[in-house]
Amino acid sequence: MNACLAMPLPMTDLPRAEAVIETADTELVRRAADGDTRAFEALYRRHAARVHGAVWRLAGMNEARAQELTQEAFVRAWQKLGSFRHESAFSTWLHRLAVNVALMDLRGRDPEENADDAVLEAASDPVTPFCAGERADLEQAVAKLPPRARAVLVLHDVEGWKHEEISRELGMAVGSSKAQLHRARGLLRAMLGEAA
Amino acid sequence: MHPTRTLLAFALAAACAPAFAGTPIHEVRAANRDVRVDVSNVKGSVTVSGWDKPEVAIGGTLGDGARKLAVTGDASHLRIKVEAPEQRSWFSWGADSRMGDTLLDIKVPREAEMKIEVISADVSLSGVAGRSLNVESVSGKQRIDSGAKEVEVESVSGDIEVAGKADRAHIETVSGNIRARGLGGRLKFETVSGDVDAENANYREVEAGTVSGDIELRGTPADGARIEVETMSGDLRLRLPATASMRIKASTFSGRIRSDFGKVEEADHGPGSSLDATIGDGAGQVRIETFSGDVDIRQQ
Amino acid sequence: MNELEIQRGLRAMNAPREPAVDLWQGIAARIAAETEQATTDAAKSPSRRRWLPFALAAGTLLAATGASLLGLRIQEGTGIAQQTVPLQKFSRITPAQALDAARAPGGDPRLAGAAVVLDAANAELQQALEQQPDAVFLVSLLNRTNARRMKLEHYGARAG
Repeated sequence: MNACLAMPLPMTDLPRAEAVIETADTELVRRAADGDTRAFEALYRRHAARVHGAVWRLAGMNEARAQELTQEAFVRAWQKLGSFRHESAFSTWLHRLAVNVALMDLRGRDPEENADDAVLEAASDPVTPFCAGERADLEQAVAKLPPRARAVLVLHDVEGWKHEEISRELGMAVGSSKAQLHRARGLLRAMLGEAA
Repeated sequence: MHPTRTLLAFALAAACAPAFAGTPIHEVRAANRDVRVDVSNVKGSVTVSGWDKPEVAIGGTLGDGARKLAVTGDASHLRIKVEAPEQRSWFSWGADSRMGDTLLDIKVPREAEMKIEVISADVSLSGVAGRSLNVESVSGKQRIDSGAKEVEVESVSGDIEVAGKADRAHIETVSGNIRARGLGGRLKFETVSGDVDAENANYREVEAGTVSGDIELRGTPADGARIEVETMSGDLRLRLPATASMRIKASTFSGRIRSDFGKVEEADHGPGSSLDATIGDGAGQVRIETFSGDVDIRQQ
Repeated sequence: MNELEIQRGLRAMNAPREPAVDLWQGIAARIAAETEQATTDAAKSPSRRRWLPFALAAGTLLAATGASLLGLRIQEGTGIAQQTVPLQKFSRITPAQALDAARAPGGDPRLAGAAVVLDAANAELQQALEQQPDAVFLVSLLNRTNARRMKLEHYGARAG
């Protein structure tokens, strides 16, 4: 087993922090929905990193694109704030909206951009793993996946969505979602090598 | 109760009509089978139910601060009005904060034609199926179960729940949510930011329009039914039976369309999408337009 | 890496990531541009503007239409299009401004919330029309929103 990936990553005590943030969000959301841009800025500061992280992964670890998408997501959120009904947490609603923006962008891009051949070429180079690089290698590998396969993999294996949700969001059958996931994982394995 | 207010209430009562705080109401008037009944209340509730007597009976409690309950008119047209302390304006915005709740419990002949106006009172109506029903409110929740042929229900910020059979129904709010069940005929739902959730039965026409409210439409269309939906940023979920016969035309400037029927076309340049699909013989018509709202059409 | 490590690595990837630069300025600018655009459009094309300043509308309409409290069906363009208004006021308003007596319809705070909703809808629709000028359905949504706004104003003006 790889010692590096076994190390715990630094993360805040998520569940409790999120509960606190959620209660405070409600008031900010109400004020922002009424037109208070300072309240919306506060919401931006709270949620930008999560949004940016999600769209960054979906956009293939492309910082410039992720920044554009993050901006787009927040502008859209501002526009749609009036229809947010507090049925879910604001962070969940925002997250879905951001994922939607990123997926729409993916659809608009050239589907040949991340061709399978490029991926397989990379896979044929032996990758020499060393601790610090492994996370980067994984990220690189995910970034190299064809867009739809990457989207399914990120949503399923990183974000933890179910196939029903993914297929609905991407406009595909549940079976296709599973096939894409299978394909994505296969490609990842090929790229990252099967170390003993 | 605050001592000064008590004194004031007594003073008012003494000076004007004999209306003490929390006075029980008991009024009965003869009424025709299809009497027109107008009800006005500022604050509290209005509950209307139909019965078989040729009478309108008013029960309940007159709120603390209300001047009196005025009942005027005759067997063909009755007016029931809760009067605020200052006659200057019934809707004086200070008035309802000075008034306690007036609870009106009104029984009317089943075919009464109802018109109800309230400010911040809840309205509940059932068992009445007259020529028409008209309810207007600012806030306060409305629960309507009506058999009236023409139904018109309006609110600013209160939620509306409406059920019953109607030939035509128009339900409109600014920010209140609309929930409709079992309405058929020709229906129109309009909000600005409120949501619409309608499960309709054998409908001939449904028009739904919001600016940012979300819309969900389900139910069984009649043959040749027409559905028309327009939103700016509100999302639409439309459910149609597989046996429906409809031509569906949907377009959005920057929203997303998802459909179980037909194939969604995405614009070559820019964000737009459109859909032109036919189910069955395409006898009915569905027309959907949004600016940025998403559209999701599914087989029910 | 083996499958287990890959899976673990993927789950661990689910972490926030700060953008390299602060994106707020860009977002604020776009939000402001929307509102600015709505205001400019209203200034440029008076024919598109279908609703009125608060005090003026109330007085005129009260005289013209009379009685029924809520049951108004206001006809568009019936001699009220000549009214003008200082347009600087039509920017996105904060709750504090919404409760300002000059804005709340007839000074009635109960209606202020609805006024905010309607004003915001108007601004968004104007902006949408800017992007999609031949969208007839947006015009009808805008008309409807304005009609409700006027109705609200009239309603508030009747308040004490």
